[in-house]
Amino acid sequence: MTKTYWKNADELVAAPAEIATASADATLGASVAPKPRGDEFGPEVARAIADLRARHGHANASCESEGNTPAELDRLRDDLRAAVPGLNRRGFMQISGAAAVFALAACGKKHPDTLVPWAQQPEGTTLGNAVYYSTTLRDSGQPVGVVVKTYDGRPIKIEGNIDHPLSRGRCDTQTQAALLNLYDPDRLQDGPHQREGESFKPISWDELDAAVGGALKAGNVGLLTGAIDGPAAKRLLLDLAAAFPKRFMHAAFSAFPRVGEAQARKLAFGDASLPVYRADLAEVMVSFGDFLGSGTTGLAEQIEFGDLRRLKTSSAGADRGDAKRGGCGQVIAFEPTMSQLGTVADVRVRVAAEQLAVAAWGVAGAVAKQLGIDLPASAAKALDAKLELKPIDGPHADAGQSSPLAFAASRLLAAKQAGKHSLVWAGGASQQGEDSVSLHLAVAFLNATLGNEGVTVVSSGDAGPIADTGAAAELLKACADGQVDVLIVAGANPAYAWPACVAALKKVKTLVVLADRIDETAALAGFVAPTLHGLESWGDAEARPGMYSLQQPCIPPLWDCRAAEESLMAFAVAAGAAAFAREKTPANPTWISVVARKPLWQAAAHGVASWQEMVRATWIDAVKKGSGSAADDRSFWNAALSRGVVLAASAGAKAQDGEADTKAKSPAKPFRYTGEMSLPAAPAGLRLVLSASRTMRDGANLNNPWLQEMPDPVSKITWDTYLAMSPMDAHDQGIRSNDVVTLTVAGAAGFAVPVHVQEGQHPGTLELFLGWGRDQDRAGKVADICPLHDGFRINGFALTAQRPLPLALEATIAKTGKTYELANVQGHDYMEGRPVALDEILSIRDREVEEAEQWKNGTDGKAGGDISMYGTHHAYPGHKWGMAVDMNTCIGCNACVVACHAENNVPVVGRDEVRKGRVMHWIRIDRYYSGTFDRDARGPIAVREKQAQALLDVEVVNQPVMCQQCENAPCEPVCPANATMHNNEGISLQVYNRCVGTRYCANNCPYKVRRFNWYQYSQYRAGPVDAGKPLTRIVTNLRTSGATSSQSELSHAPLEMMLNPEVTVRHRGVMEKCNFCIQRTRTIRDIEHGQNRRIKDGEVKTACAQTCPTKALVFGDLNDPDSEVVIMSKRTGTAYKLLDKELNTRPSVSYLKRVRNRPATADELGAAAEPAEGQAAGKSGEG
Amino acid sequence: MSTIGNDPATAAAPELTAAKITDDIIAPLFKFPPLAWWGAFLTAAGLTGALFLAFALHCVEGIGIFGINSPVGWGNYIVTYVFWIGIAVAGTLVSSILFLFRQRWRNAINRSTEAMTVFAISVAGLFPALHTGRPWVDYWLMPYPNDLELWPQFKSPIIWDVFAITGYATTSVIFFYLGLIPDLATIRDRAKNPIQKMVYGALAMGWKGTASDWRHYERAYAQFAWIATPLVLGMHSTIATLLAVGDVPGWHATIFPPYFVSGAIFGGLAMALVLLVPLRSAFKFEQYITIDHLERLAKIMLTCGLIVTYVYICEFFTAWYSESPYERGQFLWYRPFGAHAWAWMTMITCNVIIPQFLWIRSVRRNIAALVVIALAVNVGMWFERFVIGCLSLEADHLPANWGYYSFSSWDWFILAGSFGMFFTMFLGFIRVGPMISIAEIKSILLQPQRTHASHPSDSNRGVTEIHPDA
Repeated sequence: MTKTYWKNADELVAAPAEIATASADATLGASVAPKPRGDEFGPEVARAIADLRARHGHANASCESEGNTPAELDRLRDDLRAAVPGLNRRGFMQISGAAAVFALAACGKKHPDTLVPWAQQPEGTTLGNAVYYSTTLRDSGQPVGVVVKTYDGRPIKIEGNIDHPLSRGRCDTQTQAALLNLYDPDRLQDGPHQREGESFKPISWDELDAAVGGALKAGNVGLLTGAIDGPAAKRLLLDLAAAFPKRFMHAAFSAFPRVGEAQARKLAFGDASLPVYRADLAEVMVSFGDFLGSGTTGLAEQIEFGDLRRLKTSSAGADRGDAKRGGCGQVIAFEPTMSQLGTVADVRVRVAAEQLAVAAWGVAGAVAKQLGIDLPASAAKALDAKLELKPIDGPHADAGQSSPLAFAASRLLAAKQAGKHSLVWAGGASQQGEDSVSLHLAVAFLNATLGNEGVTVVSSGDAGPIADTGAAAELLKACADGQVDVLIVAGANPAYAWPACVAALKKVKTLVVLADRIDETAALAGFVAPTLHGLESWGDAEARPGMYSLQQPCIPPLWDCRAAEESLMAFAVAAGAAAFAREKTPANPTWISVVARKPLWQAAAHGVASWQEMVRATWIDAVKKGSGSAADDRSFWNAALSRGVVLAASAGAKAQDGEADTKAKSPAKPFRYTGEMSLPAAPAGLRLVLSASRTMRDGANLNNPWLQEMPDPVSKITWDTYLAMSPMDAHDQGIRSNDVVTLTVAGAAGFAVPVHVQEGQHPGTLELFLGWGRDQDRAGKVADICPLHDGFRINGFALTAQRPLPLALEATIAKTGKTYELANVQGHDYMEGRPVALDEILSIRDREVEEAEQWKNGTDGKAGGDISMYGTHHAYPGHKWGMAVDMNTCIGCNACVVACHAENNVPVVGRDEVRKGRVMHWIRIDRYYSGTFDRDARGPIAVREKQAQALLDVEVVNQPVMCQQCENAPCEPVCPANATMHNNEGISLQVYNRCVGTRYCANNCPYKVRRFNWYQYSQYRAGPVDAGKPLTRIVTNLRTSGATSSQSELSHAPLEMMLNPEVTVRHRGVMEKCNFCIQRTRTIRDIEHGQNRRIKDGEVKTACAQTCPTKALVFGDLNDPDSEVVIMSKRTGTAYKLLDKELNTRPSVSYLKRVRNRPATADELGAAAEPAEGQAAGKSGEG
Repeated sequence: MSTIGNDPATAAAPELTAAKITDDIIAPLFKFPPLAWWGAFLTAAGLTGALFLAFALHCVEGIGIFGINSPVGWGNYIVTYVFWIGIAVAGTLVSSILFLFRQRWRNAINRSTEAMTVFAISVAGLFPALHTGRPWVDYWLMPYPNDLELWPQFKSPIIWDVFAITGYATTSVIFFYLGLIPDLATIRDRAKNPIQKMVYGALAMGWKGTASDWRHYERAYAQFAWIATPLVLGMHSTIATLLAVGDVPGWHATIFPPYFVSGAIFGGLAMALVLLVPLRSAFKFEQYITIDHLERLAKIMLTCGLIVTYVYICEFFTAWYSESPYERGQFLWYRPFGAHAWAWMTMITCNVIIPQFLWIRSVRRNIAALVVIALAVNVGMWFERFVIGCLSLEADHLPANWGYYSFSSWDWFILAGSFGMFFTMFLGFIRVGPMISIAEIKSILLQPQRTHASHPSDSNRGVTEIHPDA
């Protein structure tokens, strides 16, 4: 924006070109006809100004230029002179007093800015209204259909695409956080680079293309990319292969390759293509690994898992307050570590990593025995292996089902006999090696035997994505053998995810890396070409066969970067490939990158085919044909751009919530492997399992502060990784959480790592997370904050040269005597007998519901009625917003947390502040383990050992907690400044600019959902560094930068562009909290007043409810009796309100109990049979 | 009262004359202060500087420089605030409650405890204003006319607190100044230095010591005592209510008002002992502030300590009897066994166990023992506020939110600075004001020694018979 004082209006008129340029930058190319500013002042206005000035003794020359005639001025002067001559003392005092006042008045800096509006409004844009784009982003290689909300050309929020059958309007953590990656100041900004000694020097795009093109002219060419599935991307690949005939080799690289799975399927079915697993079509799921956080599963699997978990209604519509309902899917998890799936499983069975295959074949044997089928001979020996599994408690121990293996088999068979399907799944970062093939064979056997193949396990054959099933290793081996002359790496970082391949990469003569920063691989390269972010570029994807989704830019490139695809095409053109060459045409108009203010590289100006055109052409050609669309090309393309997704007829079946199509998607295949298989040996000593980080996945997003501050779904630790250890091992070795140990793996140097004692971890199993420990300067400044801070740089990938990773590594640990405080957001992990996050057993819940009905919780005899002796105070004549939280489907993924970050401009506070308990998340997910435990338990060893034993088989509840919007909010009456108050839609408001910051509201909030701005967090990119040592920090900063806050800590451009303009950025010293996204509920006024109708249920949603992959959060109007939220909130005996009965806070949020679909234990049966004394007493007390 | 003539605390040594009393008491005002005083004063002033440095940084950087967090939104500032308020309460007890109960021995110590009140309330009154996130808008807590027609929210106990503190501080200052007027006139008449003469003269407001002056003075003094007594009890009850209104387990208890008042007197008298003992030895006031005075303070202290002990037991019983898992969790588990159990143990040791030695007469009359016990009680009472304020917040309803509060380095500046500020004012005052009320001490020391009970109205009238300028 140009800043001009109005007295310079004439200069503006004189320099129209300058305005045009400046406004063009600001408005992305909209041209503006400058308007002479002087015209705005008519003679009347000018005269009025002059009069005013004259009255104030300011009759000066400038009045003349604003329309006063000389005669008028003379008269003014005469008047003034007439007043002055007989100046007596009093007159002098008057005038000097006035002079002093006006002199002071002139001190203010009130220079009017010149606002230049759009002369021509861009198409489809209304100032102040958001524009939404449907596009596609990738989370660890998997496409996610999204809708991007933009304001004035700036993307500010990523949401799920409601039209995409795999997104259904929901979104996951990584994809939402991609927004922050777009504005990441650490991206490469200044064009391509060439290696010069140990560092890089910037070169021009033409120089880059010439150099790489020259190298490509001869020799073997390798291309290493991420997974490729889009039709246009596949076509580009074919064209490239054709451009370099017989010397082109492509492989997809993934940090978590699915090699073992592919090999097993090849052996079992003769088809190595990777299948899709559909939990939503299954009644029973048996999992050998973390289905939810494995790194190879993503949003689609989470959504479908939610469908499996959700309580089903016994008949349509019968759920309105109905007591008796149908069941829900059952999840049986076999796992060595406590995984995200383990926290939501109904039955969780601890098994050592090496014995997963034995367990799987054990289940297979039990199933086969029942069905009268023979196991493969080599697998039968698995049945001989002794597995010491904790028996399942309950009365059917008599029926011979106390063994978890027999139990799982019986559940799977029961589903089959009922004509339903089940799903057996194995996976995870370390379950893809040679030693896992037998496990995947067992899974394939079970799925084939149970008839799941083709329904819940859908193989797409060659139509599937080009994923990493081992080809990347072959390509890199070719590099190591010196067979590759030019290797182009695009969208992959093998040097980080497989450090052993660095030698191979160094052997390549010309290594070209297309990346958005100088990452570990790019650091080895001869040339680095900066790539665009997914929100800046074109592309496409075929998420599952027939589900085509389109990627379109939502913002012009911020920096001087180029789409990877266009780089590949430009290289090919420079190498003489005619296929991509186009006639050179001057770029018109000249697009300027938004932040870098540099002209963008445009294919047409360089004689290269446009990637955008290629995508369009492919879609109009292939996708249109595949979808069977009859529309003309232009309409088809516009519809595709608008919806973001096109479904082929084969995939077009409705996959909406609860309307699962259980028809077989691919032909069922018989299991036909009869050969030998090796079952891993039983473990001895400590074994280290490497898992994908549940927050960081493959580590590409390590520079993302939202994800750094997002708590791990299981441990609730932020900003660091750790070594997870079994309570038994910790007890044996005298190690506690936060102790630093030296971890030594055979064949690798030991390194220091802090320990987290993880409930539920199998004894003898250590777990380390992959995706952390990026090299210095490679991921970015935020990622560098972590390891440098205390000397930890924990890259699990570097522990072994094997790829894929083995099931487990032999490891030893030694105490160092040091401790390191892991930043954990949760204060205490056990409910200590408090009725906080409740659960119930499915098989006996009906009885409990009947009891609950007898104990109406209100004095007025109606369930949910008024228990207050004072009655209600508030009337809610229009809407009353509320939420229902289904703890049964919550998988603890934190998608809601990230959605809230983006929607509400929630700042990141950094590790030190998290340690202090100052995390700002407006919504959090509390995770409770069953039982009670004092971490620092002292006492006899036997007692502690018993406690450690008890912690091995804990059950877990996830409880999302946001502001409960209490009707009797404890926070409201205690505010002395009236800064928090209740509105007539049931929302407890926080008025930021009225807040003094006494913090009584936060103290008095029993849910502790109020968040305080202890520092000016919005100013910092990742919180104040060393906030825990203010003295040191401030003194250092004062010395180095002259300010108390170091410049290096402060937020960098262009991060401000990400802020949601609908939401205030909060100041230091004020309280803030969830307000049910009031900016969203306010928008309904436009709908209701403009269209004269009441909004429909689901038309407005909070960011968290909108994004929740498993629909655990449901938002709506409590005044609408038919809304989903009311129906859920009224589920007798299942819905309850947190702390309401204790404190009479009357929250607007209802919680639905976690339902455990497992046999009731003898204790639970006994408790249910006789209406528990305590329960009855408690309930009468409540009434 | 009828035994006043036999009261050793009001018995004068035979050599005391009115002139000697005046000379003794105002001697320090006309001497250049000794090095020890300078050392103490400058140390205290330096700590005051540290307090304001910390506060300045709080304004520049954010209140995050302190250790408070979520869930413990109130920490050092509020704990120390309640601590100093408690100290102030004890001063008012001596100056007005004991006055109304005709406890005339309090004449020997009321000046120093009143000074203690005024300075403690100055420190305390500052802290709630400092502890906000945006101290520069604290005036929003006052009802002032503004164009938004916004009032503070009168439902908020913080607003009650604002009124209680400002009302109490105003009354205390006026009461203190009123009591000083006859003595200021005395100093004015003794002063040789013209500047001193002028300043004390102005402050004495033309006091002539006439019967009319005395009549008005006496009446005003008694009326202020009547105002101050309910005010101080109400004020500290309001502070207690500030917490009791909250729903935090550990705060939400109806016993809080008497609990806080007795605790305040308990800790305040301990502070008075800590101040009086060095004062009387430094200024050679042993004849005026005798061991009997100290013993009486110790007795009141013991009484209040027992009330506090009773409340501790009561809280535990209530928590157990309530069967509320939240109350039980706080009292039966977190306080004695949780992460801050050491703070709770310190509180119990200092407030419950150590004061029991005051049952022994020889301990009560042993100055060293009294100082040790008083110091312990001061520590214990600070920790009592810490336990109530912070431990309750550390482990409230939802276990997932439990947290831990610890000091940052700047918190130490605030805590030490509060003592610095108090002692800067107190040490400054002992050089410019008479630390014993000259007029009032004469009223009890210079009466004819009585061996039999006399009419209380006689002794009351006694003050008018002694000319303060004698």
